[in-house]
Order: sequence, then structure tokens, then C-alpha cells
Amino acid sequence: MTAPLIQYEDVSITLSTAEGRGTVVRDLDFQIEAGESVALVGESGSGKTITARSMIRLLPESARVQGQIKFEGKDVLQMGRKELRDLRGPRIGMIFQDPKAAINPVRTVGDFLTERLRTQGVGRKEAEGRATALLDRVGVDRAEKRLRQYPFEFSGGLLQRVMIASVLLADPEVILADEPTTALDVTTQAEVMALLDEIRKERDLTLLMITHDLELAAAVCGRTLVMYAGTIVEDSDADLIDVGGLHPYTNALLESRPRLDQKQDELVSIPGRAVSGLDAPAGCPFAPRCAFRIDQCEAERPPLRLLDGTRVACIRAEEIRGGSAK
Amino acid sequence: MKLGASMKGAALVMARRLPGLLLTLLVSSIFIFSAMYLAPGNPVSALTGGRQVSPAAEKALEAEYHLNDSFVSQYLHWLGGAVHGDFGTSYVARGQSVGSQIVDRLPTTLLLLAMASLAVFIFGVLLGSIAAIRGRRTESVITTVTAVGMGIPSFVAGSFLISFFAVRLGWFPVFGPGEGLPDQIYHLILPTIALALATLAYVAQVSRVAIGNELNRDHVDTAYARGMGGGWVIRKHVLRNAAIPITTVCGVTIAFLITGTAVVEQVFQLNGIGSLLIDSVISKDLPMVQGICFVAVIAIVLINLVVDGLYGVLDPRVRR
Amino acid sequence: MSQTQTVDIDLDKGRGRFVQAFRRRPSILALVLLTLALMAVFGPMLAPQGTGSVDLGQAFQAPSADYFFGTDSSGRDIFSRILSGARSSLVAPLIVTVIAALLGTLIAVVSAWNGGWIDSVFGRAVDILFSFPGLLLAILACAIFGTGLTAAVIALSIAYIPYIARIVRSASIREMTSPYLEALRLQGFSGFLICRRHLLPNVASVIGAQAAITFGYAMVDLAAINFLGLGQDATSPNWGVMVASGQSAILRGRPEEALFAGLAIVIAVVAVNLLGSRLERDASLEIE
Repeated sequence: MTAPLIQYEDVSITLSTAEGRGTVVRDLDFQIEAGESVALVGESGSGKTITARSMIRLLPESARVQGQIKFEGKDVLQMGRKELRDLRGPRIGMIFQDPKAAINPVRTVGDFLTERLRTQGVGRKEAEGRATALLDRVGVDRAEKRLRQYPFEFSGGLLQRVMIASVLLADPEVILADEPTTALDVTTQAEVMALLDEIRKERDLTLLMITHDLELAAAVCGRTLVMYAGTIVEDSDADLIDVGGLHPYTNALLESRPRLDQKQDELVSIPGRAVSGLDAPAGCPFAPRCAFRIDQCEAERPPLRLLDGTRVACIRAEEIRGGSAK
Repeated sequence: MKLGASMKGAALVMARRLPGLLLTLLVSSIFIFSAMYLAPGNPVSALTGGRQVSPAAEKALEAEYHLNDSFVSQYLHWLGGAVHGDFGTSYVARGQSVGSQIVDRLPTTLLLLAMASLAVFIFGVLLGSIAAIRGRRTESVITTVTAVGMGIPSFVAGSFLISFFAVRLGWFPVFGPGEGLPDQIYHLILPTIALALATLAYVAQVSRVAIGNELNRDHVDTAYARGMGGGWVIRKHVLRNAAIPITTVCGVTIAFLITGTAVVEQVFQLNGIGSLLIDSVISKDLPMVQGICFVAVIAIVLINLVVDGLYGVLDPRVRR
Repeated sequence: MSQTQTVDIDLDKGRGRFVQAFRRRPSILALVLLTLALMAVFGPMLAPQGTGSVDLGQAFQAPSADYFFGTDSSGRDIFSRILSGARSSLVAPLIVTVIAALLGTLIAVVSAWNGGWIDSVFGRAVDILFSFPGLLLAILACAIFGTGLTAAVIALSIAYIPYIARIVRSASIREMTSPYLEALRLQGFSGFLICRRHLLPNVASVIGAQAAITFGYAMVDLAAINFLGLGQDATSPNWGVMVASGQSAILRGRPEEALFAGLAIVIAVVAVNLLGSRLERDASLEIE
């Protein structure tokens, strides 16, 4: 039984805020095997971004992390600076949400692509050659000419492809994708997503994708981690869109997607406002907005437990699934 | 090939700015030229500083400045001369050529300006980056220090420096520009500090804000996420990008330094153009004042042009 | 259920914030500024030794109970002279600031409101003016119109217009994107009225911040003009002049006159700069 590639054990992260130190994610506990593609789903404030970034320790100055984040058995949090640098890029690559902001606007795309290779000792010609080849692979035409251009001369979709190329250049085993298509228009979204999926399969990569879009998650990923207010509420490899989830929040999210195939009189939304880890109440963080809330829910935080092959953090999960809950 | 593109970009930006700068030059030169008409009294009295003038001398002045021609033609004569460095002769200085006086006293001022500019930009940016990169404590200390520094005029700084370092400690000479380059530099150390102090503080503030903003940008995150080392990221991404807003204040800063030489040269009794300007104002030597102001305007305009070119090199986005 | 958005036209916003800057805490800054203001108004009356009492026998006394800052080369009490000189050292920059703020705001609002060629012409003029440091124009003005403060004050007022105009213009343009101004215009109110009653109060905080900063520049430049001997005459207790007359004493190891006068200038400028940056911060918080 091989150890999982990525392992989060009792991870909690606190940040310094205007009101003092606050917890943004608490008691994270999950594993990712090599070759898996996992979606990290949640609304803004759920802590999904900081969870993904913690994998390469890309955290704000004031962040303090408890617990262990293990990559191939080694704790990322204990790594020295050099080790961390060797981790970022060649082992784990990250794709950012807004390519126009994430790529230095005053340096050429060629500089951007070859930068990492150059610090590894690769010569300029060689690095540019590899960059050109990869640009071709991701569908950027006239790659050689493109190397001399600046980011503002690229469209959003093209620039995201450049970002993907830059991540691939380092040849990582894991890709973290932070809402890679949110900043793009719908048609481009589909293209870029397809590209990402293709490459993942081709290179047998492990993927952790952050998204708020359940359908996107279902299309590309085999497993979904649903986060709310800084904790994981459901960890499932079922096809949530077809089968539904076990946690009330997951189902509420599914319900609230606007449907194109049916007529809706009213758009369904979850009552109340999404809460971040900082403002999470005691007990189950979703309880205040939950249709199935009982007194015990607010008493103490429900642990993530295994139910029919899915981990879920809800004390009433069986009842709800069986239809016997109010 | 990339250098070529940058140069081309710089040239493009400079060409775009040129008409505006030429207009500035035109308007200011007209204003400077009109000084003798704006002054109370007639042009001749303005040129002679109100002194008694023999009829022959008066005739000579009228001829030299074409005072009986139309305004436009007078201006053009003056401008034509000015462009060649010929600003006429100074009646007050007994017929000495204004241009030659300026050239004589130029070196001291240029050296002072060079030293002050280096001090301002090197130490200013350094201080600003330290403030932006280090923790909150360092930042607030530097912010407070620069806030005070910005309020210290050059003549106050100069007075203090002289009284403490020259008179009391005897480490530096009090007055004079010195002979030979090393000695001149030695003599100019205190004047440089006096001139550069407030401006350095300002540049430090600007740099701190610019670098602080840049540190928070997404592309810096990306660089770290790819495993680029701290030093590389700071140099190639943070400082490189922050250079753009810092360059924006370059022109204003150097113009300020140029003007400041007038004050500092008085404090330290340096025989540069600054003190020549003040002496001429006091002795009512209008042609000299006009000449010096014109040279100052040209210098400022040229510097603005160069700064714009630099901007074009640093920021490819303005090239299109 | 619809929600109507109430539009808050707070006419006193600008004024209120200025006062608020003081009310927050009895800060050292407020104290310093108050002291300076009092010195400017009551200075000559409070001076213990008067301003001009020349007594060569008392020349170069060290600081003591009688002479807080010591005496200068003519035996005059430096502390008294600094108190008396506060008026001329602080009032002239105030005049410059007021004129520059008025003209700058006028140009900015007219440019912002009208746009088009008016904006371009003013913009171009302001750009040209921007290239020249105030001190240079002040020196040139003194050369043309003679020494004494009048020429310098006018020249500096004009020279500082661009700094104020530029910022007030962008603040006005930002303010003008609010629909309520457009609504008022459609209702037929004249541009002049709208600007005066509605636009101005909302950019007042920006104007206030810039005015404070301009006061700082004006103080430094006018002190320089006085130092150079192009302003007030050498006997007046103006701080800039005092630094100049104290120069020769420095060489004799008695820097009190120059340094205490210089200190007065620095304290005033720094205090006003701090006020300006605090107002600036408040103004930008308003925008969010």
C-alpha cells in the first residue's frame, strides 16, 4: 500500500487580521494519490485558495500553520528554502486565476517562460527551444514570434495557455490550478479546460483544481472536496451532479445552479450569506443556513466521517439521505 | 534584438512628447525674453538695472537688442542668439559676455548636480526599498525619518552641516569649490548633503510606496510559486517594475535640484551658476538672469525628454 | 422587494473631516499647529524682549533664563525674534496657499465640468507650468519686478496651481461619475450652481489635503527667498532672513540664530506636511 502523494494532517491556518489573529481553515485532513484529479469546491471565503497555496507554502507573511502537509512523505512546512524552491516548479506547478495580472506585464513572454529554466542552468537557446515547443503544444500559433511579445499583446485565453505552458516547462508531477478559467469568457473556458484535461491525461499528472463551478469540477475531476467556512464538509468521488451529495451544503450548491434545461420560476439560492473561516460559529459552520438544522448541530463541530465511500461532516447525513429528515 | 526594441520604444515615446516640450520651451522663452518689457520702466532701464546711462551707451544697447524693431523680430533675434549660447553682453558686468560667464561657472554646478542626483537616487531608492521590504517597525521608522527629512530646507541643512561638521569638528572645509577634481568633490560633500537631503527623503517615500505596491502584485506571487529565489524576484520583478513609477518623479526631482543649487551655492559660497543667478538678481543684471533662466529651462526640458525616453524603455505598454 | 438607494448629499462632509482630524485625539500634531497659529497671531505681543532692541553689549549670549535661545550678533534676543517673526514667516505662505488653492480649484472644476477644448487648453497650460519649480519662477519674478515679497508670493501662487489643479481635477471627474450630479444637471440646474453646492463640498477634503501640502512647499520656498535676501529686508525677524543673518555667526561658533530659526521652519513644515498626509489619507478613505 503506497503512501499517498499528498497528505494533509490536522492542518489549521491562522492569519493576522485587523481584529487580531483569525483562523481561516481548521482541521483539514485529506489525501491525494498520484494521478488523481481532485476538485476543491467552495464559495469565496471557504478557504479553498489558501488550502491549495499551502501545498507549496505560498502564504501571506502573517500566516501560521499547524499540522503537517506532506508531499511524498516530506513535510512541506519543515522544508528549508532551497528544498522549497526545488519543490515549486519542478515538482508542483501552479496555474493562477488571472493571467493578465499573474504575468509580469513589462517583460516579454519569452522571458517569462524561460526564466525558471535559466535559473536551473539551461542555456538561453535551449530554453527558448523548449518554450517554443511547448507553446506549440498548448495551441499558441507562431510561437517563436510570440516569445518576443509582451503580455498585453495576448488575449486572456491565449495568455492562460502561456501560463499552462510555463507550468509544464518545469515538468511537474502535480498541478495546482486556481480557478484557471474564471477570468475567461465561456467559449475560451471550454477550450482551456479541455487542454488542461488533455495534458493531464497525457502526462499522468495529479491535479488539484480550485473552482466554484460544480459542473466544471464534475467534467474534469474524479473527486470533489467541498469546503465551507474553512473546513471540508464533503469528500466524495461520486458524480455529484447525477447522484447528489451527502452534505446539505453540497446539495444546496447543486440546487442553486441555474438550469438551462428546465424552466424555473425563481432562482434558488441558499438563504443567508456565505461565511468565511474567520467568522465561523461554534459547531457546524453551515448550521445557521441549513434546512436540516437541529440543536445538536450548533453544539459541536461534526467530524468528517466515512459514509458509503464518501467522507461527510454532518451528523444527520444518514437521515437526510434516507429522506427521513426534516 | 530586445535592446533594439527598447531603444525604438524609447524613441517613439520621446517623439510623441517632443511637441509638448517644444511648446513649453517656446512659451517659457517668450516669457523670459519679455522680462525687460514686464519690468517697471522702459527696456533700457531694465537692461541697465536702473543705472545712469550715457546717450552713447543707450544707443549701443538699443542696437544690440534691436529695441526699435517689432516685438516679434526682437524676440527672434534674441532666440537666435540664445540657441547659440549668445545672450548678449551684460551692461552691469561691464560688457562681459553673458554666455562666457555662464560657461565659466558651469563646471562647479554640474559637479554638484551630479553628486546630488546620484545621492538622491541611489540612497533614496535604497532607503525606500528597505522600508518596503523589511517589517513594520523598520518601515515606520524610515517613514518618520523621511517625513522629517522632507521638511528640512537646503539652507537650514547647510547651516547645520557647516556649524557642526565644518566649524565644530573641522572635518570639512566651510567655503569654496576647491581645486582639481578630488579636492572639488571633497569640498562639495557638505553642499551635496544639504541639497540632496529633502529630495532624497521624498524619493525614499515614493520608492517605498512603489515597491510596497509591487510586492503585493500577483505576478510576484507567480514568480515565487515557480520557485524563483527571493533575490531574483526582488531584482527582476519588484524593483524592475517599481522603477516605472519612480522614474515618473525623476524629472520633477532633478528640476528641483537644479533650482536648489541657487540656494546651496549661496550657503557654501560656491562660484557656480546658482550663485551667479542670485548675484545677478541683486545687482539687477537682467541679461544675465535671462541667460541663466533660459539655460535652466533648456536643461529641464531636455531632462524631461530623457526621462520620457527612459520611461519608454522601462514600460513597453506605453510604446504602442 | 426593491431597495431604493438613498443618495447622501453631505454638504458638510469636507469641513467636518478637517475638524475631525483634530478631534480624534489631542495629538501632538494638533498642539504644534495650534502653537504655530497662536505665534502667528500673538507673536510680537508675547515676545519678552521685543524685536529690535539692539544691545551690542549683550551680543552672543548663550541660552539662559533671560534669553531662551541666546542672543544674536547684535545682542537681540533670538527667542523673541522667532516669536515676532512667526507672523511674516507663516502668513505669506498662507496667502500663497489660498490663492493657489482658489485658482487651482477653479481651473480644475471648470476643466472637469466642461471637458472638451477648455480642458485641453487648461491641461496644456498646467503641464507647461508643471515643469518649473516654484522657486525658479519666484527668483525670476524678483529679477523682473524687484525684491520684496509681493513678486515672490504671486509667482509662487501661480507656480503651485498645477499641483492642486491636477489632483482636484481627477477628484472632480471621479465625483462627476456619480449619477446624482447628472440627475441635477438634467433637472436644469446651472453648472455653476451644481458645482458650488454639490461638487465642491465633496472634493473639499481633497482640496484641504493638497492645500496643506502646498503650504509646506510655500513655506520652504518663501523661506529660501528670504534667505537669499530677495524678500524681506535684513533687519526683519523673518525666520528665513534670520538664518541668513546668522550665517556669519556660525563661523564664530555661535550658530544659535541660524539654527533656532531653521528649527522653527522645519517644525512648521513638518507639522503641516503631516497634517497634509493625514488629510490625504482621510480623503482617499472617503473614496472607497
